[in-house]
Amino acid sequence: MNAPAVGRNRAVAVALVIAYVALPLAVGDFGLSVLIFAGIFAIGAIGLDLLVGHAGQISLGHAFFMGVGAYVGLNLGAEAGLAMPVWLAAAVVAGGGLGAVVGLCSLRLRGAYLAIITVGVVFVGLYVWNNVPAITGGAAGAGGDAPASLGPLDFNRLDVAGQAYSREQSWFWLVWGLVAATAAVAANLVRSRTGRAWQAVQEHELAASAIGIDVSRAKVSAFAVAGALGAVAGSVYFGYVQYAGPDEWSLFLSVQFVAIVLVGGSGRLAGPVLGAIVLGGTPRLVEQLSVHLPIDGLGLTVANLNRLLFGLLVVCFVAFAPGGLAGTWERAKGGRRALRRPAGEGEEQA
Amino acid sequence: MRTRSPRRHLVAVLVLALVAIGCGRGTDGSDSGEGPGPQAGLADAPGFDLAAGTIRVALLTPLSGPVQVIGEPLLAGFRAHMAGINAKGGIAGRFQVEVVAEDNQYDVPTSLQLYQKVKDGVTVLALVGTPHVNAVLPQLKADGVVALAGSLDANWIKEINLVPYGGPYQIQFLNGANWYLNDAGGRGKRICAMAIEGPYGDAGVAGLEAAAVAESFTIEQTVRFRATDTEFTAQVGQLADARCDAVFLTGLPSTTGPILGTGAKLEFTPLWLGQSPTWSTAFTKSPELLPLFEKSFVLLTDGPEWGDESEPGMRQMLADLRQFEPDQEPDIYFQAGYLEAMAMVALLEKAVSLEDLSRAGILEAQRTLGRVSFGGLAGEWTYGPPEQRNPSRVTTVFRPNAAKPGGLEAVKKNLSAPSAQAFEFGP
Amino acid sequence: MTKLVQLVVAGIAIGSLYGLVALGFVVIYRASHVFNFAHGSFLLLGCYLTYCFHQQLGIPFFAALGLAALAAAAAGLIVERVALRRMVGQSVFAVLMITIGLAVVIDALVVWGWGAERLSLGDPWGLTTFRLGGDGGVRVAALDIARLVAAGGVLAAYQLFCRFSTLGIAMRATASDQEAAVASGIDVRRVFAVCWAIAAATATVAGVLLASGARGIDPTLSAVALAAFPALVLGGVDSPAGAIVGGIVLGVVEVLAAGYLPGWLPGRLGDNVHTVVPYVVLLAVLLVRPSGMFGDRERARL
Repeated sequence: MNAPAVGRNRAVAVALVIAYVALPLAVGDFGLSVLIFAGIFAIGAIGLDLLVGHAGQISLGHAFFMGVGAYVGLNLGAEAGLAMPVWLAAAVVAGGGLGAVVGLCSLRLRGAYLAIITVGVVFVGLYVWNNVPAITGGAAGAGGDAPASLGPLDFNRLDVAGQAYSREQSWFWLVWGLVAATAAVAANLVRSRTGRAWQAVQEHELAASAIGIDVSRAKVSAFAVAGALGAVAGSVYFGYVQYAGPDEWSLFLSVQFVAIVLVGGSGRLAGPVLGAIVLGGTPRLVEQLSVHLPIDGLGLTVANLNRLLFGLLVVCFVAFAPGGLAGTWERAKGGRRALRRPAGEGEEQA
Repeated sequence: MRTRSPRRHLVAVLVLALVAIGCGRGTDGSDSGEGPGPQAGLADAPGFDLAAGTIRVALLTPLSGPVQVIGEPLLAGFRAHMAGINAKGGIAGRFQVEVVAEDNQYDVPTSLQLYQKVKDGVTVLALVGTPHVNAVLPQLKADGVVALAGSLDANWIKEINLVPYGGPYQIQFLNGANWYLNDAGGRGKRICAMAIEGPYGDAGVAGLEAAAVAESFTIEQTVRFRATDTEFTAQVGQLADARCDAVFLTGLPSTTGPILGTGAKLEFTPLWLGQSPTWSTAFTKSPELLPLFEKSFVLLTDGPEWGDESEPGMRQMLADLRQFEPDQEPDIYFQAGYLEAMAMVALLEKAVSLEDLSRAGILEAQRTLGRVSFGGLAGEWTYGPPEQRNPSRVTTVFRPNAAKPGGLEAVKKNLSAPSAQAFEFGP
Repeated sequence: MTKLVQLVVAGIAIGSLYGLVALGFVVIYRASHVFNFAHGSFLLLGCYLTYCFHQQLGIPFFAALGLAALAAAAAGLIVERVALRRMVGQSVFAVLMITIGLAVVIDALVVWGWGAERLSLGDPWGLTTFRLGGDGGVRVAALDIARLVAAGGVLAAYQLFCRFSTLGIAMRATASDQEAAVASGIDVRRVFAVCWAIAAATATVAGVLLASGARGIDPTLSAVALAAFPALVLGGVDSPAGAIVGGIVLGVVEVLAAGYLPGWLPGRLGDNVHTVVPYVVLLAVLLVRPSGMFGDRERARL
């Protein structure tokens, strides 16, 4: 990397750290809640992006893994009172294990076939969440307080150096700290042998196996990682919301994750994070601005106008920036990375 | 693509995030949301501006998405009541109510974000939908905020941060079963249940099971379905095979029509007794469905017949409707929103009488509110400390009748069966 | 025995509907490998347009349906031209994302136009039911028959079009090998446009058949597209006949599961298990035949 690029990256890193520390002190609870949800979705989206953007697979099942994580948080965190590192780790294991199982299907199926089977996974999940009240509280859902302490810091009641912080402030730091950790793990994975195997499988599966890459292992591991991170997102979601209902882990939620990855730009590490922020914040932004639009008498309610504007924004954005936010950024930066083919091309046509 | 400095990109994203999503902290009221504490006389509080004489409240309801047909008229009813109160001088004749309406899109994260958006600027808020009330409840408890719960779920009855209204789903079926057995010749007949997946369905079935114990009958068959189902031959077929004479139904308007239609197809026509969300006035405009509904459907819900001006609550609602929402057609969800506003007004008037509209004041108002009458528009509710709370035990039995406004004719008004009165709620 | 036949008949009827919806997906996917997430929204739009022509403008039902299908096809052409034409060469995921956005836009426009209240389509089938085989016989709704006939009819029309018309042959060529099609002078962009038009028209028919009878029209109709997903792959994503057959198979599986499994499974496990069984069956079939029942076997190219 050349010197200006290093300097630029350092400036970016410093700016991000400053933003991380300072935002909760400047932004109100409303803005923080939007950013907290964005962060939760970013964690899950990073996992999905590894699967979709790096390993070239496809999944509409991400909502299932988020549900798994939420119920791990409920049972191990709220009900059993285990510490946060424990229930987070358990979410990783549960999501990873179930992800690997789903990954086994990918050994035989491709493209739309694989996608629809992942849809089936969501429906199996909905069936289990609704009909096994012992672990999920059944149709009414279940609530509870999962411990959220890391060492001396209790993020449910943060009090540092005599200064008490609101729950939104504390959880912002916790969630975005986890986002950074997840991004670091993802970056390492991408650079590792596993990541390179994923890359090879995405570019040309047959050639990859010809040069000795264990394609099955690569695929299953990609699904496992996506499942694990989806579950982490779900467990953090439960920790923050303190309630989980069975119908939240729906296909619509899966589509939201896919949208985040695509709008943010798949295959690039900043993509899922940018996508989560933009797709999480845009509806709220539209709501703030649409009250100024003179629509009375047009027979259009504010609520419907918001939906319409949001859809138009997505369409226009993708039409003009098909590589997503991160793709646009890459292209602006120029250089080799901009020449990388966007995800989804190559032998596999999903 | 034009080249642009990536640093400017980053700054732009950060600035956008900061500016667009919220202003600085601590601008509206205090962070923790606590009021100024007990002191003599009214003082400014979250949502309450003494000098301007306004109380701001918020209603979080689904105004878009699959249950828009419930959320929109509900908001209209809520606004109509508040407009009527304001026209008469406002709360306690002194304070005008400002209503902030937000669309939660029937999405839980959205509900939570909107709660954060409005909480510091309102005195009380109103919520709609069971999963949304469930999700916001922990925040209400932590922040000491009171919210009205627009959902006939019995879990709210003992929660001091929630002010429910109306007869819970369990009560609707307890009264409905009693009516069927005693007034509709149902003694000795075969009774069944068809329940939508979700807390509504479960609550209804729980009520019917309690009725079965209290009135000594057995539920011959229970079948379940999902809101997104389009095909009901299997489930209705099971009821037909069980030779049910009456089926107690919980569901949404989009499923009620197909279910009754499937029954007609299979030449299975029991008496269908539906809870409040099964009905829509739109059924009266459907030439195919109207005869079916008129013949074999009964609705169990609150309130007198639309237009029954013998009830003061109905008179008041119709007056407000004519003045403020003249285009509104008769709609039970408009009525539900109107009821929600009535409960909120009672709460606020109590808080004003206690001269404290802070968070603690509202909680205290709710604790000492006691019995609230809805002018016959729904059954009386007793609010107060959890042990003393008592929901409405009253249900009206309606039959569809296209000649009536709203398409419903009251067959048995304000029934309160012994089993409904004796039912014990919650832990 | 009657119960079994009754359930199978109902399954075939709803399955025909699923198949018709799945056919719309296949038409587009086959030629362009685009998965159209807005298909449910076209179904919704077509249905409301039929309502508009028939109930609001008084045009007789089948003429209204035809007009609505044409109008929806025009909408499909416009969408393809405006939103998708510029996406040629972009990744398949980006195109998917645009269809997701389009679905939101079209749904919002429909609610703007007609509101969210339930409307009556005024269809000729209504609740008309026939009884086959005397008392205790199987009951078949006129609508059930209409659904089966429509699925078969639309499929036949589409297959004839593909076989005998120039445009149809061009579509098959593009589906088979896009590069070769371009190389032999086929206007691939025109093919895509026609695919979108056809898909929108079939969606209109499917939407009308869904909203007929007791169901009524409301904005939640677009969700049926999700129910058709399994049908789409069971038959093979590039086989129109497979879509119809797959739909019917899965419709029968779903109704039989709803009819029998709750009795066999303990506790609450039987509740709504019919939402899961089609996917289990689908997985079983795909593990044996990964390209679905009639799909093209994938040929690996080096």
